[in-house]
Formats: sequence, C-alpha cells, structure tokens
Amino acid sequence: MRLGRGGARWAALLAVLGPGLLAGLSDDDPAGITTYSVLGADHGYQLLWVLLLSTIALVVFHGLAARMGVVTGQGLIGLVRQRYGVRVGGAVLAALVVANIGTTCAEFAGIAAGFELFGISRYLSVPFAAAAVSLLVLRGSFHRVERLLLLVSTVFLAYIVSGFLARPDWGAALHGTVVPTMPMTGEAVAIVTATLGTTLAPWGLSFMQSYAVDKKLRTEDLPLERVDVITGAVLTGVIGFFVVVACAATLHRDGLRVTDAADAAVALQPLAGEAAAVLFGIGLIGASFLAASILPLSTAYSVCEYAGVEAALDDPYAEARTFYTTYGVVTLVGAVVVLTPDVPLVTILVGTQVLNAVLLVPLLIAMVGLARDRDLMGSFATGRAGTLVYGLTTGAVVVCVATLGLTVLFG
Amino acid sequence: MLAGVLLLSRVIGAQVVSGDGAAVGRLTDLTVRLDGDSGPRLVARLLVVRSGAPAVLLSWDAVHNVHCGRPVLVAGVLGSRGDQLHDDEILLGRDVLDTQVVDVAGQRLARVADVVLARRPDTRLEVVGVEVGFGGVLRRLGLGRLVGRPTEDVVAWSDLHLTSERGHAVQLSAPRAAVHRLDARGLAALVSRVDTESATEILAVEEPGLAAQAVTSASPEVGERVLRAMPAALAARIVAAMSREHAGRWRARLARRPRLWGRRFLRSRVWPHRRHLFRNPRG
Repeated sequence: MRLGRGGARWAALLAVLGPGLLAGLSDDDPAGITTYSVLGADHGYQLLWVLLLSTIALVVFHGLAARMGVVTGQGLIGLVRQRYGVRVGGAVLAALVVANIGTTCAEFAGIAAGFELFGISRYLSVPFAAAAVSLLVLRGSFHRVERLLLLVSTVFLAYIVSGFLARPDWGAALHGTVVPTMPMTGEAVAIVTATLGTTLAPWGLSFMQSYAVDKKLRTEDLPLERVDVITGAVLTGVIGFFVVVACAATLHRDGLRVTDAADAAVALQPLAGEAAAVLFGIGLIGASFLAASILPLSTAYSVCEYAGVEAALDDPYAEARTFYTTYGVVTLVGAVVVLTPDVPLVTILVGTQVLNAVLLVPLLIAMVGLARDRDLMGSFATGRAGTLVYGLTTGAVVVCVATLGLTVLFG
Repeated sequence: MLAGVLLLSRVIGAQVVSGDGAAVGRLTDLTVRLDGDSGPRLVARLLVVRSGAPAVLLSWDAVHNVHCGRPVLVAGVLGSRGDQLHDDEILLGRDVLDTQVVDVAGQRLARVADVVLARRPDTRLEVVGVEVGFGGVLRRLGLGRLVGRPTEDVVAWSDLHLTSERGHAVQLSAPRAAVHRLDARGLAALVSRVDTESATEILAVEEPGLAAQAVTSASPEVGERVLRAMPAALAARIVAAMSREHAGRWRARLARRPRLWGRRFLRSRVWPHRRHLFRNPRG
C-alpha cells in the first residue's frame, strides 16, 4: 500500500496516539462523571468555564509528563527518587499507592453501580471486570492492550449522544463556557475545585509519563505526541461538557439534585428519555472499566520505577514479576473492598480524594523542578517562559486545593 | 590493600573539619574523573557546603585523613578551591546514586541504592562498585534493622558504564562474546529489545546465516526496522542467507514504502552513549 505525504503523516500520528488519549479520557472516571453531573444539576450551564480551565491544566501538565518520559526514558516516581532522593521518592510512592488503591475502589464501585442500573448484581459484574482487566494486561502485548483500551474509550461517545438527546440550550451553554461567573457560595467553590481536582490527578500524571516510556516514543515523536496530549485533553473536556449539559438541560431545569453518576442516569430517564438514560449508564460502565484498567497500571509502573525494575506491557510475567504482581494486588484489593459488606466505602472515597488533592501539589512542584533541570532534560529543559506557564498553572491548582481544604474543614 | 569500606550515603552529610578541629562545612557530594585511565577509580574532589558562603569543590589531596566518616582537612586548603566541574567529572551523589541500572540489552534491573567506597592506606577513597539490592534502600530509609549485611548486592565499578553525560542510567557492560553465544531465538529477542542502532550493530557482526534466522524469528516489524536501518549491501547479504521463500518475501517487503503504522519505537535512547569511558577500565 502506497502512502502520500499526507497519508504518511496521518500514519505517524496514529502510531504515536495513545498516551495522551488514555491518560486524559481515564480522568473522566466515575468520580469525574459524578462531579460533572453535580456541577450541571446544581448550577446549570453557569460553571462550564471550569472545564475550559481544567482542559488547559491537563494539556500543560500531561504534555510535560510526556516530554519528561520521552527525554529521560524514566517514569515520574523514578525521576523523583533520582532527583530528590530515596526518602522523598518513598514518601511520594507510598502516598500514591494508597491513593491509587482508594481510587481503584471508586472505579469498581462505578462498575458495580453502572451494572446495577441494568439489574446485574455487583457480585457478578465486579469479579468479571477484575478478571477482564487482569487478563487484558497479563495476556496482551503493548499494542493489543492499547488498542483494546482505546476501543473501550469510544464508549464515551455515549455521553455526547446523551447530551444531544437532552435538547440543551446551546446559547446558554456557550455563554457559560466562555464567560466565567461564580456564585459565591461554599457549595459552588467546592464543586469548582473538585472539578479541577478530578481532572488533573496524580495517578494520571504518573501513568502518562510511564506509558510514554513504555511506548518507546522518541524525541522526534514529541510534536505528534503533543497532538495526542491535546486531543486527549480536549476530548476529556468535551465529554465533561456534554455530561454537564445533559444534567443542566434536564435535572437543573426541573430543580432535581443528584449525589452520584448512577443517580443522574436514573433521574435522566423521565426527562430526556430511555435512550439518554441508557447511554448515560453505558458511559458510566465504560468509563469505570477504562479507569479500573489504568489505575493498577499506573500503580505498577510507579512501584517498578521506584525500585528500578522492568515495567513493560510487552514483557512476560517471568521478566516483570513486580510489575504484574503490583497490578494484580491493586486490582484484587479494589474489587474485594467494593464487594465486602459494611466497608465504609464513602469514607474511603472521600479520604482518597483528599489524599489525591494533597499529593497533587508536591508532585506538580517536583515536575516543574525536574523539567527545569538541564542535567536531566538537556536541550529539552524548560526555559523561563515555560516555567511561568507551569508556575501559574501550579499556583491555580494550589489555590483550588487550599480552598477545597478550607471548605472541607470549615464547611 | 583496602583498609575499609564506606558507603556514599553515610559519608554525605558528614561534617568536614579542619586540622585544628574547627567545622568547615558539610560534605554534600564526591566527584570522580572519567578520564579513561585503566587504574583504580579514585575520588577526585569533595563538594562542601558552608553556611553563609558558596559551595566549594576541594581536591581530595586536601584531606589529611577520614576520621569516623568525617574528612579532616589540612590547613589552608580553602584558598585553592574550585567551583566548576571538569568536562569529564561527575558527582557520585547527583549523577550515580539512585540512577537506573540496565543490562546490556536495555532491560531495567534496579536503581543504584548506594555507592561503595574503599579507604586506601594513602587516605584516598576508591570507588569499588554500586549496591543495587533493596536492602540498601531500606537502610537509607532508616529501616536498616530489617536488612542484614549492607553490601550483599554490589556490582563492581569495572562492570559498569554510564550511558549519558550525567549518568541517566548505569549500564552493565557485557563482553561481546555473550552476544555471540546467543542462538537465533535469543538474538531475535535481543534485537527486539534494544534500540535500532544497537540492533544493527549486533546483527552486522554476526554470521549472515544466523543473522537471517534472527530476523525471521523476530516479529516482522522489528526485522523490517533493523534491515532498513542497515547499509543496503549488508541487508541484502542477510536476506540472501534466508531460505528462498523467506528471501522472496523479505525482498518484496523491503521494496515497499515503509509502513509507519504498527512500527516499534526505540526503547529509550535519547542521550548520547559514552560506552568507552567505563568499559573495562582495568583491562
């Protein structure tokens, strides 16, 4: 098959696509969909501009993570250990592992809730999903795993269709996206910070960097990888936009409130029709499945990076025992916690969100420090202009996390 | 010959004192020169941080002795200090400690948990190797009681070479003979793992029949990537050594325009290698 210049460029882009798309879209996990649903149901179209901000933050830091992975050939936790020492690296890894296990519980809880919408017990759906994600990673080569995960990602289209079926007021949606207004209430501040926090997550950053290493991208691929990162971040924002729009056009209009994504799917049924509610539920299952695959993967990459042992999806179990064992343990713990009666799941999920938010700040600061290190990054080190952009983005996240902390502490 | 063993992580942070016992500053790193000498690798300079003054690099010649891990300096050495690293000089703490160790095929093995130093009778410190076991990590985390002897997993310095200017990875060197002992399947696995340049170097020195078997045993994408990266005459020689059926298929494949999708990427090679510097320095 002969390819013209344009065809070759497309083919090269297709070869590079993956890290940005998967890292971005997996941020639209059940916690993300819940946050967007509450944002739309409680505030209508007014706070859509927050998604624009979170998309920019995603582009900035996922792009940086990909660049650091490609240039150094190492994942984030490995670099933190190398640059800041074994104690700082160990503390970050410990916090990340605990937070990732908690988030994996949230993903399996999403799978359970999604299937229960269709009358399927969690005692069937959760073990099935845990076995499926484990087999996918254990048996598949890198390219097969990537293609399957990208295929799962197409389920997010369900949210876009669901948004259209809700017949939103497009003018109000556009206005809410580009004109920032802010109701000065504690609830509004909390949901704005939660939206930023749910999009840019520590596990997403570490996954992004390690996955770029595992994909064996080269510095020559960085321009195309930037396209991948921007595409992933924009799609993440677009999906969030349609979730908010669907809930704003129906639940907010009728003054209904929701507490989670499954709740939103049920509430949509009489307002937007059976199809919209079904699509919303399918989207929730797909999003949970994708994130339930990525979370253990991100944890396994991080543990191996810290220890310095091989972590590649192409390697067989015998050559990457730590990698696959970590993946299995995180998946198993996540599934077992969700299936265990009387486990305080809500406490675990809230604690995990707080830990993720707290961990995000030092991780972003460490990333900026690493990106500026000429010994590490060579000619790809960040200059003054880049540092300013990363610094401003980090500053915005710090303000949000601090505000969220104050809101949690003082209501 | 060697008077005792020291670990870099225990030396770093030690107080540096002058001959009269006055504190000079804190030892924050040690340097070695990568000058290609085949003799023992000796610590060249100390990086000393002083309160309220810039950090200084002091020649090891200024060290009178090392007492309880604390370097004791001879008098008046601060006047002969330097503040720039030489082009071939690295900091053991910054450039070696905690860096990735990979084997000759690029497989990640461990991180450098510590740098093992040996005290010589002439007060010089010799870098003898790196500790790679997890025990070293636990010890540095303050959990030393959980591990036994500190230097169980030590790789000799002579078996290592740094893969970039500032030691982004420490690679175990292996004699070329080890690659020659591989059969076609082993060779195929090796060329699948390493970057394209190394893969072509490996196959170029093999007998064409074995190289041909390795290419046909590897995945078609890997074989194509390596053959395309070779000089045309060498690739043609390897293809000619295949069976007629394989040769015909490979000639047709190589005659086509490269297919970009499904290609394999380089493993991780973005910095220039400097193999010559640490390859068997003692001969």
